[in-house]
Amino acid sequence: MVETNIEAILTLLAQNQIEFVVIGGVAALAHGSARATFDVDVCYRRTKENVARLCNTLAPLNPRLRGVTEDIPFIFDSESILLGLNFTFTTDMGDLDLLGEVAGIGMYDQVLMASERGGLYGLTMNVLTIEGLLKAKRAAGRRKDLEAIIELEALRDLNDPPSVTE
Amino acid sequence: MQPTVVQPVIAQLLSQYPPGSAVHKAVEYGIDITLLIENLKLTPTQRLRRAEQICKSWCDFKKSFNAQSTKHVPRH
Repeated sequence: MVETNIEAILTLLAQNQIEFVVIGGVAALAHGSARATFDVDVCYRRTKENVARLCNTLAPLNPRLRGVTEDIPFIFDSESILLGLNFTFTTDMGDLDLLGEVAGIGMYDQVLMASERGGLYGLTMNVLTIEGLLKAKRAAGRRKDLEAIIELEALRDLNDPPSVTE
Repeated sequence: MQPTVVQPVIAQLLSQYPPGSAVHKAVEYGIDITLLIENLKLTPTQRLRRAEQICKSWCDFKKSFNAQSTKHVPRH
């Protein structure tokens, strides 16, 4: 198991002008979550140009499908990415999930609208908002997300405490 | 079942929020709200670096444990 280097992966994507939004556990961590995450999830724009940049940037990290035996062939290139949609990869920098669509929100343009621009690692990145994360978690409907939803709702309140005059 | 003991710092925090609020629900659910409060004092980058450090420590511990552990053999 390779420890996921969140900083290295996000910095690499941002520095190579990839159009992406940070989603999932890393976005939740950025908002203050205390839940551990072991992979980086991003929603990527599915234009030919962006997918080509994405593949050129990530290819040196040797991405391979996670949980799939080595003998199942997969070529990490634009054609493969455009033929699919959502991928779970292991790379030399750790686990990275590339999502073309986020359940409960939609494709990249909708995910971007549900994100905020903020500083991460000295770079400006789009990060899914707490509201966006809640939509995605509710749509996923997984039992393990229940605790994450309760935590995110608490973070939303803690970020916006009630007025003392109320 | 033992009654929930609420730390003074959490009780003080809860008094700022109406009953039934998300913060109350989180505490009732068992989420350690003090971790969230501490995280919110950090910048987003500091939060991610801290989480990475914790994950790294956890992975190091797991590797070390796996390398040194021996299975108990039942005696007959």
